[in-house]
Amino acid sequence: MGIIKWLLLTILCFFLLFLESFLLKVFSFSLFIIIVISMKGRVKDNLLYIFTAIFSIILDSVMHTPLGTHLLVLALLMLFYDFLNVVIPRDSAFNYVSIFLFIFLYYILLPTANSLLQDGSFPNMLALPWLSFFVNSVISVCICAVINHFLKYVREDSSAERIRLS
Amino acid sequence: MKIKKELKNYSTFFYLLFAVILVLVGQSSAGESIKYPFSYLFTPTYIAGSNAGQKVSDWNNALINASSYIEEYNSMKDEIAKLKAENVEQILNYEEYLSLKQHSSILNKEYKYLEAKILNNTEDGKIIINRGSEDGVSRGDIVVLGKVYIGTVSDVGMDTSLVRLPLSKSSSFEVIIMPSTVDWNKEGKVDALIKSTGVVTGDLDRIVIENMGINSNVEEGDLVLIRDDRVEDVLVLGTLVNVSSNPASTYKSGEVIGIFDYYNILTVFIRQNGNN
Repeated sequence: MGIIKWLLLTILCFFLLFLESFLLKVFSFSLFIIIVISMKGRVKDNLLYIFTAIFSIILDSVMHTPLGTHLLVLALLMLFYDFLNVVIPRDSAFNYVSIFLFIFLYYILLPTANSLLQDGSFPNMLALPWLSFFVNSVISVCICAVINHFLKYVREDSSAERIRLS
Repeated sequence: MKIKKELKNYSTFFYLLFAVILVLVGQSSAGESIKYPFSYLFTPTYIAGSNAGQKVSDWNNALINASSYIEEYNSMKDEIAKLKAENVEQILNYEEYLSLKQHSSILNKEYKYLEAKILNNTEDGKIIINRGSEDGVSRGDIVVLGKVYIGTVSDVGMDTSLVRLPLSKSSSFEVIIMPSTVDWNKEGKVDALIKSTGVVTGDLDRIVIENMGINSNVEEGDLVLIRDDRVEDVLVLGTLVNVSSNPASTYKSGEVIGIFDYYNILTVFIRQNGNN
């Protein structure tokens, strides 16, 4: 059972990487960050950290960014998100504001950290596609909302019976 | 148990610490060694995804820029049409050059010649040329091509003129019939070679020749030359064919086939009488 689980995870990694590169090329949109924020609080922290660490290294390797760039940004954002959750409860509707900030900052911090670690200088902030970051973040929040509602629907006790029957 | 719980509370900090260590390792030479196996395994997948994305992105850009492509296509169509027109112009210029070359070698030096293009043909044996009174063309001017008679200017407009061909029913000339074997360069005096005289009239699709001497030895293939006061020169009209052999008739008749098919000529020359 354990082997099948790891095999599935490996295939999932390949599939996720394919989708990530595809969406990055077409819309400069990151699927990885949506998966990370959707997993946060739903799976064990250790599993989340292992997954994000491995996938971050994969992304650094294929995108030729300095090793640890993605991981450092994610770690900082997770810390920030944990602090936000102290102020904004995770179950409230305002949690989407936290998610939006989490994703929006990811889009900003990633090129910043990359530039800092690779060239030792800050990028030209005015040259960054802020509108694209904003739109991508809003779309990502919408996708997160859909995922949340879907998972709530699946986990509801009343609907559990229906799922089994179907 | 308590220690484990406290460690769990600080797991994010440990995660951050791990990230910082990884960054530091990545800055060293060990970083490349760590990245290499991941790069080896996952780069093909990344490139495949990226290529697929590039294709979609290209189509997306093509759809967005469709209007500009249409504009570009239309401008290219215009350009192609312009190039075709230029090409046709070059062909016409070449044809004009050949005509001039041919014409200049045999033209009569006494006259001035004005080159003209045939614009249109009429059904009653006339052609319209692109020269008019602005160019000094006047009614009665003779239109030739080398030593071959083409027609006479019958009406002059400002920029165009109407030329009456020998095919026209209102066209009639006095002609002489010569053997086709006569060499114009060798023969100094050709009067002795005249087989007969005659009169030609147009009949729209043919030129009829009449009043040839009944005792003359004219035969098919003989050369028919115009010798008329209105033409003021001896010019070639065509070749004699269909000579009648009616013993009851007092004269011989036949038909003349023009040297050129009048409706296939592009360039002609208007002979001006040196007054212009």
